[in-house]
Amino acid sequence: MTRRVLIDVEHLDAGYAAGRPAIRGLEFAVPAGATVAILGPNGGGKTTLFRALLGEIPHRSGRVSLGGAVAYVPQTERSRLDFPVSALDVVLMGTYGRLPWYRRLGTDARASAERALDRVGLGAERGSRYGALSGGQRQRVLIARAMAQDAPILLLDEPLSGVDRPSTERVLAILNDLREDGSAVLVATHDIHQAREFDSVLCLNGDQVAFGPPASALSPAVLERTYGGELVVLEDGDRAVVVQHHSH
Amino acid sequence: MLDPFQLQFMQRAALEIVLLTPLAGILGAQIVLRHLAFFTHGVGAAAFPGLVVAGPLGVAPPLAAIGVGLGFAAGLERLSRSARLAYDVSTALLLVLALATGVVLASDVFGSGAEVDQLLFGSLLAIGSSELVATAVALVVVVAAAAVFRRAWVAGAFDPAGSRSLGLRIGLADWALVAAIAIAVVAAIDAVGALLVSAVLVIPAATARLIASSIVSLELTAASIALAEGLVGLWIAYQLDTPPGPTIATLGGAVFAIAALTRVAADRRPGAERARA
Repeated sequence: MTRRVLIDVEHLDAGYAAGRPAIRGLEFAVPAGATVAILGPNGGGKTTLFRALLGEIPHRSGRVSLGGAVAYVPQTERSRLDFPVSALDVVLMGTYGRLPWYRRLGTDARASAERALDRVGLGAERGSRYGALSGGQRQRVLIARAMAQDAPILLLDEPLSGVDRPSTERVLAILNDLREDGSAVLVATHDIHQAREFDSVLCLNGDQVAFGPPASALSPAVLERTYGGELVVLEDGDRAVVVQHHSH
Repeated sequence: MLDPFQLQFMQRAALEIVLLTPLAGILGAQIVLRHLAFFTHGVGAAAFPGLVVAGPLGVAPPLAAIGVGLGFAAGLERLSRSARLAYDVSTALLLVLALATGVVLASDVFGSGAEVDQLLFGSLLAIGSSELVATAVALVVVVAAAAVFRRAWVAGAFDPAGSRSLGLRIGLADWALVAAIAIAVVAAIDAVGALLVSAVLVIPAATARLIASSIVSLELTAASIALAEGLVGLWIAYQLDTPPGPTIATLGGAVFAIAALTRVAADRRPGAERARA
């Protein structure tokens, strides 16, 4: 049975400045119930692609068709750790867009937020201050907020960066649950090994280098073109590690 | 002890404080959470030349002040983007420019006849019906803006990047907040003056931030502190024959210092870190 396409990108150029698109020639489609890893160096256009899908930056050419609302999960360090909000308060933010301003957050919204927290394994932490949670827990709270939005398309910006191993496994299990629910899940990542766990991989270095199943999209030649001068170490023929030249 | 509040001018002053109290709670919380304290002070200073020229130009003073305050906000945004200046540098630059322009315009050169002292430091004891009506209108406008945009204000401040996908009009909400702050600043100028609007809109919320554990409690505590500081400061000013605006600001600073020291002492107690987490 053919699954409904939730993200259809054709010949997309997008960027902040006219004439100098940050991402060029993107062409891919993501059906419901699929996960896509987006690989690329810093500045390669991963976040720009997300912002283009969210409609926050102009499409210079090409077309984007979306089969539903989009939820975005930013990197946790971009949220405010000093904010006087609990984990449940943060997840409730995911229900704000569904409620007109004149309606109070009712039991439905609260139940939806609590369900999302339970699904990411943080039901017991609903009253904990967001800033007091670990990095992995905060990441799961932000994913729960996206789940509370009831959006069929989820974009996650490096959800596995700086997260300990148990939390990484939890996050990957949650992404798998979302896939089984029929969501289209796009995850920006630097980890080539983890990218192999996804249904498809999009390699991006300003230009689209490759899109397809991990077996074909993660070849040494593609990785070298994706990461350019950055060092790619191949281990035992099936593992690759990219050493990023971080500017921060 | 409460005898002074039998006097009509004290009753008007107290009513002005009561009307300003919700602004201190609703907007004070946002100002402190979003680090807009310096911006708020800048809007107050920017409103000053607007008030100076309003009379001679035949413009209603609140409208002139709000216009200049919003112009300050737009200019600040533009300057920060185009000149690539840090936000606080742009604020300081425009603040000094506005303040100096106001003083020059208020001098004999322009002949505006404006009372500089009153504009800068307030005239709470001279509050009249028109000022009370203006503050009541400001209160209604700000409460209405908060009813519509409060969720976007909270979500946008917590996570600017992620909030844009929440289905909220974050950009519009941000501008509504700037406008609400400008309106509240103009309302507070009558009471505490252009230079001391922080005594109402920032200091109570900054004090509340030391103890509040949620945004709602931050708003309620800030409003309560603003009310208490306003009324007690007014009473002290009457008893000591001091100007009310600066007296309220001084009291607010003292209460903040006590709260901050208490918080530091509490944080140093064994087990405090675990209890907070």
